[in-house]
Amino acid sequence: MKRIGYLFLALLGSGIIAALVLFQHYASSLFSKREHILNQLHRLQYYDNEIDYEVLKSSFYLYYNYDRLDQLSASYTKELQKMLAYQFTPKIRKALQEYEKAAMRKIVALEKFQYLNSSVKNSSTYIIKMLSSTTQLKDHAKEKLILDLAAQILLAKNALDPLLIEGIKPKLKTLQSSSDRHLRLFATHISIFVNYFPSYVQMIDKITSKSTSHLLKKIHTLLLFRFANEVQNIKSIFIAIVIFYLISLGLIAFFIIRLDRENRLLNDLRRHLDRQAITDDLTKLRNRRAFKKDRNKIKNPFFALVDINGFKHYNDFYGGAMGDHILRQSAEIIKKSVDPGYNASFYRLGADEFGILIEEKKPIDTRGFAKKIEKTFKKTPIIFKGIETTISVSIAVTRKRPLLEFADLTMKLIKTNRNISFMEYDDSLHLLDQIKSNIHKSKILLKAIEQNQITPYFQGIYDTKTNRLVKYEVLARIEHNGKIESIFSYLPIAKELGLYKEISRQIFTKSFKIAHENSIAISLNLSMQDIENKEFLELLEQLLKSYPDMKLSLEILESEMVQDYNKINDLIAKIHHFGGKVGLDDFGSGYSNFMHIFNLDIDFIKIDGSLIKELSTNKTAYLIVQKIVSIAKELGIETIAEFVSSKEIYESVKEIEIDLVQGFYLHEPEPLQDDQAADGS
Amino acid sequence: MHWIILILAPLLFAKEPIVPIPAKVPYDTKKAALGKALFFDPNLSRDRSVSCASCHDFKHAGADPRSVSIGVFGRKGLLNSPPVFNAVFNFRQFWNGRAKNLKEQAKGPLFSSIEMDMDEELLLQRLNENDFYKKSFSKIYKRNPNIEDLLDAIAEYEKTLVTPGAKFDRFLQGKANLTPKELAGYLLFKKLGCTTCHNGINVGGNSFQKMGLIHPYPNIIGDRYEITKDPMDKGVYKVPSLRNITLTAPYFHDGSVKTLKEAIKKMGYYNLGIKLTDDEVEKLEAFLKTLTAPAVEQ
Repeated sequence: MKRIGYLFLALLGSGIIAALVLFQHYASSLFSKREHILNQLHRLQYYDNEIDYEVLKSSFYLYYNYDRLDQLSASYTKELQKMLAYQFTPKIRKALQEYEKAAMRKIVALEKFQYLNSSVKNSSTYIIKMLSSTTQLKDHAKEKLILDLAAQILLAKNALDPLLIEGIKPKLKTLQSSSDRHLRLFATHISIFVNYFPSYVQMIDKITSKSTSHLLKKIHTLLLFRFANEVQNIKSIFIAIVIFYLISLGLIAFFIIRLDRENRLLNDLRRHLDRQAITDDLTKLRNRRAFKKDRNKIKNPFFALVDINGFKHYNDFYGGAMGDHILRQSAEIIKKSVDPGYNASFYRLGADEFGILIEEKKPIDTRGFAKKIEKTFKKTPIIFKGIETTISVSIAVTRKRPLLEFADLTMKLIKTNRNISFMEYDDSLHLLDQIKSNIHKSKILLKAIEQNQITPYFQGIYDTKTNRLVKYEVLARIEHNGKIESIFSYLPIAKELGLYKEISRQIFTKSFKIAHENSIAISLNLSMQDIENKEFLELLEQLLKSYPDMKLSLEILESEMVQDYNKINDLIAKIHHFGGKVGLDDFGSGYSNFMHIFNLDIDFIKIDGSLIKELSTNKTAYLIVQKIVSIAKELGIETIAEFVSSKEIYESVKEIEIDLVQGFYLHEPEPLQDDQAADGS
Repeated sequence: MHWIILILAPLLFAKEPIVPIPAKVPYDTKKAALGKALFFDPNLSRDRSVSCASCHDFKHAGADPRSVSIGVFGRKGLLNSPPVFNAVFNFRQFWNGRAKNLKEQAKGPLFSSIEMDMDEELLLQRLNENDFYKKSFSKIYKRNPNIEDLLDAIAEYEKTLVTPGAKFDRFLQGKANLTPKELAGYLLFKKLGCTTCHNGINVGGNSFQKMGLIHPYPNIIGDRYEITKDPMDKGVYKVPSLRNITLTAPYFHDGSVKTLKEAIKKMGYYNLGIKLTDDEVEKLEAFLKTLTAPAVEQ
C-alpha cells in the first residue's frame, strides 16, 4: 500500500513539474510571440510612414532618387508577408486580410505615382521655364494668357488642388493651334499637366491616406485585446499556481508543526517512560533499575537497606490495600528521617525493602543514622481505615561494594537474631563465606546425588533392659572425595535446590534393600516435606509392598510444622497396615508436641537430644524427661532416648526406665553391606 | 543585404539624384562560380548554341550589339536585350518589369521559345550530362541539379557583375573632377528634367515611366500595358539604366537608335518635347560618357 502511495506521489509530483514546465513554455512563447507580432506591426507602420514621407518628398523635390521608394516598397511587402505568416484568430485574420488588400493597393499606387510624379514634375518645370521664351511675343493677349495659365498651374501644383486647374482646357485651344513651335509645346505640357494632375493628386492622397494606418491600428487593438485575454489566462493559471504553492507551503507548515508536536509528545513520552522505568509506581521512590545506575556514580558510597519487619503479616492480616498504604507511608517516613544535607537518594528495592544511597562527603555516624530511622518509625504510627500500627524496621548498612549483596547478607544475619535491628557489614562477618560454602556444598550434593553417593548409615537402637538390638536408625551420609559427611548441613541446600525428595528416595530405597539383605529392622526419618510429597508416599508404599517382611519404624521430624492431622493419621494407618510403627522425633523441644499425642495415633516418641544430654547433670532436665516418660507409659507409647554419649547418661536413662536407647556410647553409625549386622556392642 | 548599402549610400550624397555604385557587393563565391559556368554554357539552349552570354555580351557591357537578339535556330527576338551589368540594382527586370528579381528574370530566356527554348525535362537532362554540374550542385545545394538552384546560381553570379569606378561616381565621391563640359552636361541633365526618370544608383531602372510622354513614340511593344491592361500604362516601360550607356548601343526597347547622340535627341523630343541644340547634345553626351566604368571599356 505504501508503495502505491509513493508511486502515486511520484507521478503526481512529476505531473505537476511537467505542467509547470509546460506552463512556463506556454507563457514565454506567448510573450515572445506577442513581442514579435507587435514588432512586426511597428515595422509595417514604419514602412508605411516612410513611404508616405518619400512620396511627399519626391513630389516636393525636383531632384529625387526613386531607389529609396522602391526599397521601401519591397521592404513593406516583405514585412507584410512575414506578418501574414503568423497564426491568428479568424477575426484578426480577417482584419489582416483587409489590411493586406489596402497595402497592396498602396504598392500599386506607388508605381502609378512614380510615373505621374515624373510627368507632372517635368511638365510643371517646363511650363515655368518656357515663360521666358514665350514672353517675347508682341501679342499681349497671348502673353497674358500664358502668364495666367502658368500662374494657375503653379498655384494648383503648390496647393495640390485639382479644382484650381478648372477652365484651363478651353483656353489651350488658341495656343495649340499656334504656328509658334514653342507655344504649341507649351500647350502640350499644360495639357499633360492638366490630364495627369487630378490623378496625381488623387494618387498622393491615396498613398498618404491614413486608411492603412487605421486598419493597422484596428489590428493592433484586436491583438492587444486578444493578448489581454491570453494574459488573463496566464494570470489565472499563475494565480492558481501561487495558490497551489501557498497551499503546499501551508500543508508543509502544517505537517511540520504536527511533526514537531508529535515529536514533542514522543519526547515527553520517552522522558515519562524513562522516568517510569526508574520509578517505583507505588511509593514514587526510585526503583531497582535506577539504583543499579546510581550506585556506579558514587565514589564513597554509604548504603542503608531498610526492611519492614513482618510485612507479610500486614498483607496477610489486613489485606493488600493496607500493605500498599504502609509501604507508601514507610517511604515518607524514611525520607523524613534522613538529614536533607546528606543529599540521599531513596529507593524501593524489594517488596518491603527500601534503600538509601548517600555520597559520603563527611563521615556519617552509622549508628546514629540507623537509630534516627528507627526512632522516626516508632514515633510515626500509620493509620489506615481506623487501624493504627507502628512499623519496626531492620537496617543493614554497608560501605563496601557490592553494596546490595553485602547489605542483603547483613540483613539475613540481622533477621536470624531477634535482638538485633541494625548492623553494619564487616568483612570479619565472613558473610560471603556462607555463600561460598553454599555453592561448594551444592556442587558436592549434586554430584553425590548424581552418582548415587547418598549412603545410609545405621545406628543401633537397643532395649534398655535387655541390651538387645531392636532396630537401626538410618542416618543419611554423603560420600564425596572419599570423605563421609552427615547430610545435615546439606539439607537446607537440598531443600533450596529441590533435591530433598531425591535424598529421601535414595535413602529409603537403599535402606530397604540393605535391611532386607541383612534382615534387620530399620527406623527412617520422615519430614513434613516427605509427607506432603505424593510421589514419595507412593514410593514408600511400593517399597512396603516389595519388602513385605520389612519391619519399619518411621520417625516424624519437624513436628511443629504439623497442620493437617488427617494426612498423618492416614499415613500412620497405612504403616500400621503394613505392620510398621510411627513415632515423633525430637519430642520435648517444641510446645505443640503434646497436641500431637492427642491428635495422632503415635506408637513411640523419641525424646529430644537436648534434654538427654543434660540428663545426668541437670535436675530440671531429668525431671522433665521423667515426667514425659511417665505420661508416655500411661498412654502406652514407647520412649526412645537419643544422643546417649556417656555412661552417666546411660545410667540416668536406665533409671528413668526409657524403653529404648541410642547414642555414641552404645553404637556409632556405620554402613551395612551384605550380611553384616552387629550383634550388639 | 546589398539593399542596405543602397539605402546608406544615398545618404552620403543626399542632394544628388545619382549615387555611386559601391566597390563591392557581397555574394556567395561558390554559387557564383557555378552560376558563371552556367551563364556561359550554350548547352542550356535547345540547339546548344545560345548561352546567356550570347545576348548579354561582355564586350558590350553585358548588352547585345544587335537591335534584337537572336535565339536558338536563328529565331529573332522582339526587344533589345538590356545590359546584364548592374542589373542587380534595377527594381524590376525586363522592359515591362514583369520579373521581380534576377532569379525570376533568368527563367524568361531559358523557357522562351524564341530565345533558348528549353523545357524543364530537357534542361535537367543537359545539367545531368555535366559531371561538374552534378558535383557542384550536390556540394553547394546538397541535392541533384534542379531548376530552382540553377536560377539561384545564375542570379548569384549576376550579382557580381557590377561596374564601380565610373568617373562620375568618383566625382560624386570627391575623388575626381569633371571637365566643364561634363559638368555642364550634368547640370543640363538635371535642368532638363532627365533626372526625374533617370535617377538613383543605376541612373534609371527604378521606376516605370512613359516612353513618348509629350510626343507619342511610334513603336510601342512589350510595355506595361501588356501586363497590367491599364490604359494608363500604354507605352510605359521600366526606365533603362544609363550606366555604361556608351557601350550598350543600339538604344531604346526596339533597338532602333544606333548612336547615343541620336538617342539623346530623340529622348528630348519624345519625352520633353524640346529640340535640343547640338551644343546641348554634346554636353549631355560628354556627361553620359562619365557614367561608363573604365573596367568595362577594356
